[in-house]
Amino acid sequence: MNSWGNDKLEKRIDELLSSSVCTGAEPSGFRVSLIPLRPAFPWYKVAYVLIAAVVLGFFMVQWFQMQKLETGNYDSIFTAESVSGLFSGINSSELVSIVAIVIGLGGTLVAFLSERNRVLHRML
Amino acid sequence: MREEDGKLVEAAMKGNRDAYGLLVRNYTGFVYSMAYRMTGDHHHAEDICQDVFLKGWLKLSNLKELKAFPGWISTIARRTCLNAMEKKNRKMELGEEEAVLVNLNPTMPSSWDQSRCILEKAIAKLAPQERELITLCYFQELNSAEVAEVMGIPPGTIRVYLHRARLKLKDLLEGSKDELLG
Repeated sequence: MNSWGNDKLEKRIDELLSSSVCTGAEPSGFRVSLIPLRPAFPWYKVAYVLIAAVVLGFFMVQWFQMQKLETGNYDSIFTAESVSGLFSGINSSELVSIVAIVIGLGGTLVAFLSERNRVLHRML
Repeated sequence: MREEDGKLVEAAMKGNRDAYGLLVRNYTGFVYSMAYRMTGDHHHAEDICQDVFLKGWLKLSNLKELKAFPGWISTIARRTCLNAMEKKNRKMELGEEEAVLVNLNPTMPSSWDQSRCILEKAIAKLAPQERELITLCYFQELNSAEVAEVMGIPPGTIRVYLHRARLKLKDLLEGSKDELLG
């Protein structure tokens, strides 16, 4: 036990062993890749979708109220003409309505089209 | 443990990714050497190294004391190496070609100088426990009590085992004395 480190070879072995476990002892060029950041929760997308849903819901309610539901003839309610009148209650002079539509449609586009683009990029 | 490393551990525990990156840089040499000596394969050691630091990052909140970081990361490294070796041995039992080739042809990084290569070849001839012990004992950040804890052996036996391992290593390196001292 006491003899260890007394002669030249023992000292050299000590040196080599110490340097083989210190900083920089790994092969040159090898680097541990940094851990990727955790993806942030897409709060803004959730907000866009909620706004779009609220705006759409508002117009749906308005539209349903315009229909004569008590007649029981649902075929006449869902005709192309009646459904196309979903936004008919909106007057261009109503600033709030225009802003709501812009936010709703814009939000929907931003929320869903970017995802779709990513899929397309991957496919290409 | 170095004072600056303590600060880095503290910052990393608060989620500072850059601080952890610096810690990784400081400990890569040690973790890599440990993985290399336990597996005998350069590429495998790199993968293990990557794995160890990823586990470290994910489990950093489990660390109770800042000072315990070197021992803690050593324990993760040791367990990861043992698991990797177990998998490799299982593959060999199954006769998978790739595993057998890896075992027959241990690789060494081209960047190592002659002395390092001679040393590693000699270490490879030691028993697995001796290889592990030599690596842990020469790592400045660990004291003998911590080495004993990592390896799960009584602290009193560390010195005895280390002495035995050193003598074996000296015998193995006696033939390369001129290259090492020249």
